[in-house]
Amino acid sequence: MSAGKSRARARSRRWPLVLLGDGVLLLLALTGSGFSLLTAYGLGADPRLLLGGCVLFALLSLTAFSLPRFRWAALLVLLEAAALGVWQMWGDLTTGARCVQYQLAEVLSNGAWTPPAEAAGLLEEGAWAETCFLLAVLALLALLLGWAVVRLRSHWLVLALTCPLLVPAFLVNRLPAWPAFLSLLVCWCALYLTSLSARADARAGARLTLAAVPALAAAFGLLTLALPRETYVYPQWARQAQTALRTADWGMVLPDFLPSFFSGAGSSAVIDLAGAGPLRYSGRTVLRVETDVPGWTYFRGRSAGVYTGDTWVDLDEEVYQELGELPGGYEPLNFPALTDPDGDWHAVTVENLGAPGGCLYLPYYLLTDADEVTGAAFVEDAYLARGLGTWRHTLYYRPDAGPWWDMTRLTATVAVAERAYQEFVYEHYRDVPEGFRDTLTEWVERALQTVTEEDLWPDDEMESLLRVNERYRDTLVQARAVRAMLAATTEYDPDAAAMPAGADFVDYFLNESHRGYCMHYASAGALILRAFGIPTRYVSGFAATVPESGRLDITDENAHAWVELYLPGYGWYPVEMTPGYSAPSAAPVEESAQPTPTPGAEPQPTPTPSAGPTAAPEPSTTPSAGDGPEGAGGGDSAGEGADLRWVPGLLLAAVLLAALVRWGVRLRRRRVLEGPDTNRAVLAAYRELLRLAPWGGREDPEVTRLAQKARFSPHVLTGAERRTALERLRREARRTAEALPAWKRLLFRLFRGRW
Amino acid sequence: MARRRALYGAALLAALLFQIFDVGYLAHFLLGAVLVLPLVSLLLTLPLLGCRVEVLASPAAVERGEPAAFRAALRGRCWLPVSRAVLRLELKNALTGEEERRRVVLSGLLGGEGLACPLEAPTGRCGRLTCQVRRVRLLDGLGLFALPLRAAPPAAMLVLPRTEPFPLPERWTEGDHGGPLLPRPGGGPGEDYDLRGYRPGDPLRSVHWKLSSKRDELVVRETLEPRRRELVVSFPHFGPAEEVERTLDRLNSCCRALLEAGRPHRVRWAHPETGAVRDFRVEDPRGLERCLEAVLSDPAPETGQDLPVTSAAGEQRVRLGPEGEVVP
Repeated sequence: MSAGKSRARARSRRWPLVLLGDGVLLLLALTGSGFSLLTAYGLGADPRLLLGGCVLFALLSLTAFSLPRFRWAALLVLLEAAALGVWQMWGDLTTGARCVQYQLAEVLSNGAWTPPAEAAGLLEEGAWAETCFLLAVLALLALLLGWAVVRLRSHWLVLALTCPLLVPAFLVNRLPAWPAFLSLLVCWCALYLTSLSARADARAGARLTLAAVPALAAAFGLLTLALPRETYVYPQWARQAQTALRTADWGMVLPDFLPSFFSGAGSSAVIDLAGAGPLRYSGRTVLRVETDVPGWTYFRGRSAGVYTGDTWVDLDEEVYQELGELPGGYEPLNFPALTDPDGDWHAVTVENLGAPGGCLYLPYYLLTDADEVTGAAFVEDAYLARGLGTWRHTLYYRPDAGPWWDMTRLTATVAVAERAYQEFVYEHYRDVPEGFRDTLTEWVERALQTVTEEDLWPDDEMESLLRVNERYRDTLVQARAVRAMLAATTEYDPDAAAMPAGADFVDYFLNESHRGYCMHYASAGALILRAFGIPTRYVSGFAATVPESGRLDITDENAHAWVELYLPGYGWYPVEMTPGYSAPSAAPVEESAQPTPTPGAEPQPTPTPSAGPTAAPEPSTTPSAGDGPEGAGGGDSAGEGADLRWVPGLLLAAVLLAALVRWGVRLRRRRVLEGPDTNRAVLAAYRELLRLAPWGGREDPEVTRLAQKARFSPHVLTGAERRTALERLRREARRTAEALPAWKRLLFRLFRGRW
Repeated sequence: MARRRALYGAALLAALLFQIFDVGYLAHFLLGAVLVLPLVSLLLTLPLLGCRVEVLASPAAVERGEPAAFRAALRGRCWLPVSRAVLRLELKNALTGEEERRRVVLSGLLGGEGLACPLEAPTGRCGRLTCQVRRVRLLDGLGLFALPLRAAPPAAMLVLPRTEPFPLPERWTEGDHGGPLLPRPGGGPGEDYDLRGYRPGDPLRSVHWKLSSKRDELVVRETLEPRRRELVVSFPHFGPAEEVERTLDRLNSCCRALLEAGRPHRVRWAHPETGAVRDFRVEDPRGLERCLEAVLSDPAPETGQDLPVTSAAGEQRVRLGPEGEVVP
């Protein structure tokens, strides 16, 4: 009997210990998957029913796959029962599927996609349906896992069946409940840890499984205690390593998707401040802009009005319901353009090539109103939602419509609408978390002692300040002062570490770390201005300088955050809070010999939204956004390391080539040795045997005799004779390989294949 | 195990990159988990360090060409299974000097008899085969750590020459009384005798009273008898491998035939490298076995030193060669 058959027979025999070991693994995999799905995606299924279902499905699957005979019959019975169940509960299952689909879409879009109105009722009453649907999914998963654990004992297959369910949640920073995740982790590790033993003997694998599972559970439990999630801070060494890796020229060997996979720079519905660690970009183009207005331009995505301590989120929908539709159907984002009715309007075409957030990135002073916009829709006062499948939009705006001394007052219905909205803004955009106002006041008092008058009112900005309408001058001066105080007390650092869990983002930035980048400055600036009583909100998007050619590719390195102040009678006005901020070099489609100007360096014949008098950044020694990791893409990057960048690529190519050679050898050998011509197969076996000689192989008289018979006899060799020759060849090859030292054995297996 | 180590290295690298490029807690925990996993694996392997490796020969002696095997076994009392134990064994034939290295992998439950694996012994050539464990490494479940284990002393197996019909010349077995005269045990009447002084314990009837009275001291008469000349079988312990094989076949057959004929004899040869004389008296099968073990333990090079051709007094010398015997 061949070794394979004896192994298969040994595997088919199920000792109680083996059943117990397999059952434990199956249960861990199934409950881990079920509860990870439930918690990572926030599904509304009943946990107790889910646990019961997991246990039941694990037992059924274990029983079916452990039967020594009639296994397929048992599986058929189970499948038939499952089909009956699906038929009986079809209505619940479809409802559950829709509920799960809504919730998945909401979670994976990070709030960018909101379920339709009819989904709200469905989700409230769909707990039972969701439980049914999830149980149906788990039943199918139990069968597949049973096959992978009990029959194949394949850790790779179990990983492939369970891990993809969680990857999407991980990508949007959603973690499952920790015990559920640990169950899965223990299952994966136990399967891998016991794979050597289980391959040799099922009982050995089972014993090691029963010892490994509690050991791994204890180890991971202790690890969880040793690395508490609440106090986790992104380690300093990792930050330094990231910087080192990014400043090296790895562009040729690192796949492009890797940094962008983790990046996601741009705008989003929920601004996750807790995860705001070191800046990292892929350099990928995310927007393509065409306009005839050159100069520094903000492309705003979403704004957020509620600060929670570790996030910026939109105002509640109920608040907007109270506001209702503005008189005349006006949108707040159109108000500034309406203050310059005689100004020139210009077109801008924005093509989204991968910018996140589901929103349209648009310049300020938007003229296009709700009736004119196509492929997009205004969402409250916060942003313009991009329609599904529409990637290119053409909008109209008035770049000269700033809050200048010669602006036109809004009249008639627009004025009424603006006043209604103004009340709304003053009511909802001045909120500061309870008790935090004192913290901010104390900070301002301390900060004022560190800044000089020159810092607060630089001479070069006084002239531009004079252009601002008197009505708004004080507000903008206050904003300028806040920016100066932030610049004096903190340091711009694109590698600033994430804040510890549980801390307040702004409090940690202002009073402890004193290091940060645009997200930190915009958040802090918005709260301080609110503490002064100025309606302010946080805005994220992109900022770049449009070249004279009018065409610009905006990369994710241009992602930025700033604040918007509400100027009564005018509308939302952008203000820069990040000190020394200069435009990262955006790559124009048509190369220009002129260096990309920074907002402060470029003379502005017309005040484009360069954050007005308060936002004009001056040249500074503080590091700019372009000095961070994204600066690695500069022209000086081809240094000494450039010669070595091919080494990993070459190594990879060598490994691939070796794998190809080995695959070719095996394929050719199999075709000849197992082909229909027995004489040819035996002769090939003899030749293979001779090829073993340089490695220490010995000639086998029986194979030689059979080869002579195949070569010189008119008879055709039988299948049994071929099997004898092949068996002897395999035995000799194995013996030869085992007698070789490790490195030589590796070469032997590479060139002569594995027997 | 190189593949498993490479796989772990890749996992560690991936976890490290994940930690570097992701600020989240999951990356941090996964890196910790990847680092902790080998410790757990090592912890589950430590109880197995009390195991020992044994090598046994079965059977201890075998005729050339017959199947025989060594048996490498891992013994110990531990509930946990052995994920993988890798044994490096060295097989050596003392006569021919051939060496062979083998690698044995054991995996599974220890049980009562331990984990065992048979090793086919190369019995194609005569000689004293020794199987020695050169290195034993116990691998953990992940296949990362190779822990050393205690190895047992080597096992030996004799691959004996073949026994063929060997017609003994009559002169080897007939009474050949050309040997020296030696005292007959127990005394008694005889034509030849010798006189010597009395030693306490000599029987009184052996005292030669007449002569004793003349010399004034006790003189004893000791009966002598002629002894058979001792047969010494010698052979060259070197030469081409095939010739040495044939010579040893003839030696073995000759010795067994002589023992069957009730003819004790001596086997004598010179160590081919040092020239030291090896001399074994063969009186029974046990003596022959000891002699053959010594013969098969000495190396047999292509050329070497031989015994002088002359035979000592009282010895009947027979020299065996690959083609026949030579009586000097």
